[in-house]
Amino acid sequence: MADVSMTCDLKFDVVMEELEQKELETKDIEAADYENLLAIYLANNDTFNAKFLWKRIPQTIKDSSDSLKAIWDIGKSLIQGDYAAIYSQIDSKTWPSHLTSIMSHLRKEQQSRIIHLISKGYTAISLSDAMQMTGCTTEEEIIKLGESAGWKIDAPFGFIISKKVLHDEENVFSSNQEQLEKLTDYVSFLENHY
Amino acid sequence: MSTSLDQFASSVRNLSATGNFEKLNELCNKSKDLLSKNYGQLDDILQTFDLQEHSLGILTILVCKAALDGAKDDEALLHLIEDFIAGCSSEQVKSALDNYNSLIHSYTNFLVLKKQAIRGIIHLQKAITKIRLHQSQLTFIHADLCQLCILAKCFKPALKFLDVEINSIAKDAGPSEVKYFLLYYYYGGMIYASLKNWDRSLYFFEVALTTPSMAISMIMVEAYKKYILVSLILDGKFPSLPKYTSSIITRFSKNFSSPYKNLATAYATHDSNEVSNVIQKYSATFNADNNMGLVKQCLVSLHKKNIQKLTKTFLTLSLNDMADRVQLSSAKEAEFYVLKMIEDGEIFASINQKDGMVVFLDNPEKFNSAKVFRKLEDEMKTCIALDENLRKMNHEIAINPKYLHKIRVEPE
Amino acid sequence: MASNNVEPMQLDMPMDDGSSAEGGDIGSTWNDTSYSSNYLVENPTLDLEFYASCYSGMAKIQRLLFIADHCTSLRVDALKMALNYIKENTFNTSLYTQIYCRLTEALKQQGLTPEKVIGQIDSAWIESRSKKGASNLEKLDTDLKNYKSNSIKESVRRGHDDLGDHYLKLGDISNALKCYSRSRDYCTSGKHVVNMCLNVIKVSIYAQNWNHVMSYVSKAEGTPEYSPNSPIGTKLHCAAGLADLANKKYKSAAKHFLAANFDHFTPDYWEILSPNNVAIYGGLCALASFNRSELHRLIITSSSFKLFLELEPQLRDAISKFYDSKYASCLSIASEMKDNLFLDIYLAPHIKILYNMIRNLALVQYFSPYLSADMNKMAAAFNTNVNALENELMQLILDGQIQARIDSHNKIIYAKDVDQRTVTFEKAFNMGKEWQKKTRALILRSAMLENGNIIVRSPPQTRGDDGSNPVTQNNHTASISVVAK
Repeated sequence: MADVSMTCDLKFDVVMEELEQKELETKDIEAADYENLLAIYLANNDTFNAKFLWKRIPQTIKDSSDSLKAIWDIGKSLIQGDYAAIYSQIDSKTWPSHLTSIMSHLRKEQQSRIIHLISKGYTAISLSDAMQMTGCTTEEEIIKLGESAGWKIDAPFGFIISKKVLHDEENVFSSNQEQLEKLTDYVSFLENHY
Repeated sequence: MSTSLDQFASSVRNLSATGNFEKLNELCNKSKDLLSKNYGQLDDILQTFDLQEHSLGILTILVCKAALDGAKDDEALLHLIEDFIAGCSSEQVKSALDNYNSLIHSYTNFLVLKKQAIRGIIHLQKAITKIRLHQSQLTFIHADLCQLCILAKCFKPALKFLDVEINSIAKDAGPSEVKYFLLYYYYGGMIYASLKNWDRSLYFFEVALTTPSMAISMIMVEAYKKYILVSLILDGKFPSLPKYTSSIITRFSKNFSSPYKNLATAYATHDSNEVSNVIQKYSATFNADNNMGLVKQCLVSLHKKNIQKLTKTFLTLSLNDMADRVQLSSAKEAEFYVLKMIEDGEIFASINQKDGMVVFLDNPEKFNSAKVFRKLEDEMKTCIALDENLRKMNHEIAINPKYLHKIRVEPE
Repeated sequence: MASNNVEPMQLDMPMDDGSSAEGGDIGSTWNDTSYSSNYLVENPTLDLEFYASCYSGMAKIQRLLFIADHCTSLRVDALKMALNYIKENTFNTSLYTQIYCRLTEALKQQGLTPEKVIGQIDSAWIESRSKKGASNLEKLDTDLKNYKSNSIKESVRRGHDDLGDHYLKLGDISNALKCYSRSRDYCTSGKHVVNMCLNVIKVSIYAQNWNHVMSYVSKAEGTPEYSPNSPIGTKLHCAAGLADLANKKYKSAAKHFLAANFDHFTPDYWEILSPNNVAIYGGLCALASFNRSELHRLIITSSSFKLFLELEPQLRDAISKFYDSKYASCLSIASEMKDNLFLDIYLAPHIKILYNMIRNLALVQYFSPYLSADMNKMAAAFNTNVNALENELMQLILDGQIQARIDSHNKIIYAKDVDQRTVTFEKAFNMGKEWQKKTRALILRSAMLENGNIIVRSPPQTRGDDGSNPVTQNNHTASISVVAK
């Protein structure tokens, strides 16, 4: 799963930069570009840029594009923390072809973010809340999701989440050579000054 | 074409060829009147100039054109300016910074008036890179870029410049340019505040306020108001200006900011009802100053700080109790706040919905991982580099002949 | 706290209807240290006669009036005593009239007819006294002028002193102070200086000018013949103690009072303080500010202070109970004493603060040996309920007096060890950040100065009335609003 989403991310990052540059050059930027950009911001949970992008989109383009308005509704829900609404808003609309991949990416990202948050923030959460926050429609779905995230079922209430120590993701050790260089730097600094 | 204009054009060509920019500048400045009077023929002269070779000449003509009435509606002029920025010779314009800056200022003004701010961003980026000597030099058109970004609500381009540490300022004519210095830091502070980077925003406002001054500028007044608000959001207390602030600021700052001071006093009681009352009372002032958004964030940050205080004293607390203590409306709202704060990394806690309790945890950072070690090393490297910088600066002053003269004279 | 309800019955605190917000048990005043001077004490157990007999002069009058102001039951008696004393010992006719009026008021409120109880106002006395007072004043004045013209230092000095005494009898504190201070220039020996200082101190205490008291105490202590263990030394210690008390320096006040020597307190030793006062002031301040070893060493096992404490057995009990960690009984004894203490002119403003400090100290000491404590038990030990206790503990934790965390779910308080290593790391990172920020600001500032033109000046043509100069900013940017989420 990791690899696929990484390449997805990279692809979207590239698209994002292109769109931003296009906007600055103010050449023929159209509704579709704005929609894409807004959706990418939301997928990255970058509410600041999303908010300001929405503010600067010209009113004419806003009026002309339904998708744009719908994407912004999702953004509003994200900012207000109304996680449940996000999924229904994504699912309820049939998206034009240029938006389908980004929207499904958004949904997946949002879900994984929420799962991570729940693992971090809750020791016990009710089934209904969990379902709402992750956009699952059936109990089986949420149970499967929970199990894959390592949550224990505590029927009929919900999940009990035990705290795992989050391991270091980075394992960056510098080589001995580098360490030695750094130490000499420090010692010479201290000696030269004091 | 009248002969004086011809003369002007040929002198420009000659002097540009010889590379004597000083004389060229003199000539250009002297000829400004002449050019303004003959504005009809300016376009023709422009035709005869080459963008790269005769940048200074073109610059002067453009400045004169921009000063004419009705210039702001001149779409062709805007295009001319944009092309000029893209194609001019940076060596030439660096020698005529006052004209160049004033051209850019006019350009910015036009865009602002026409509400086309976003168009100018990319050109201003180019304009800045043309004249700055190195990345950490501040020019007087940085402020224009920030202004356009704020109006266009597109901050990323500005951030590229704002995030760089400044360690020198472009030499310029004109004491009125200090306004652009102040504006840069004021706008910068606003941009960081809208991105909720409170630390840096506070720093920028502080720089604006500690500029040496013998009079107070309105910019500083506005900066002071925002400074108070950001300090409340970040630290929860009324800020104190550093010792090196000019005395005139400390003396008169009180006159302009009493609603804000009252807000700070209410904030210090940690009672959100009080704060709401004060906000209500002065809402007209806050709105007029366009600070209402920041003020509302003060209230939010007060709730957050109260919750953080709870983490210091309690191990577990029921959501209902928490809602009571922090004066939120319900346990559900408390849960929402806590979840948001966990997400943002502002507290360490976990919610147990089953019995409606929150458990507060200590910062799990035990400072014993490789990541921390790496970070420590990086910080040390930065500090050493900065220190090196300081020593160089110290050294430069120490060998400066003027300084040596001064210290030699005194013991006599 | 919305869920905070009424405390369970306290042992003995009278629930005064007439008293202001400070009434009620100690527990509820955990955060209320404000002093409003218009309160009433309902059931004091003060023996007014004995109390008044310890003092004389203006001190007696001030104390009696204070009691009259703050206690309805003792008001009439206090005012009567004051009235009689004034009549017999002073020339203070204005105060006489004032007190007479207040007494009439008080008697009327009790439903009695004043004339029957105390007779008419003695205008004959007033007249004769004011004449006599004025004539005495004149005589002293002329005498003083004579002495001055004869330049006999000793007589001038004594003349000033006499004049000051007379002014006190007239009730004119500020003139009295002036006269006593003037005798300074005519002092010829250390003894004279000390005498002068004592007089000034006395008047400054009446005027409640504590800075004066402190400076003259140190002046007197600086004379060559001064010895700390003399009767004069004791007076100076007590005066210094009073000044510290008024300035809220409780620990140093306690130390001063402890330096007083009981044997010096013969009857009529000093009109201002009685040994009971020393016991109470010193004991309470010590209880509120000393740590356990100091308390034990300096108070409980101290032979000199023991003599004072014997005069106030309640306080002695409270202190020993505190040391024995029987906090509930200590606090209840203390609250029994509270009413009477509110009638003491110098102590009353500090009672709430002192009691608060004592209570906090008790809580901290109670918890100090434990890793975890059951809050229910603790609440019982302190005569309060769990919710109020939780609030108190929360405040103590926030102030840093206890290192602990509260488990509100199970109502247990856990001691928390501060992990020095983590704290050090955090400090190091923060300090690094601070330094970097300051250095960058420094570099920027030197760049500003180097440029030379970065100074905000007012343009030459503006008016600059208050120096503010509207260097105009772009008004368009004012329309930017940094909108909240």
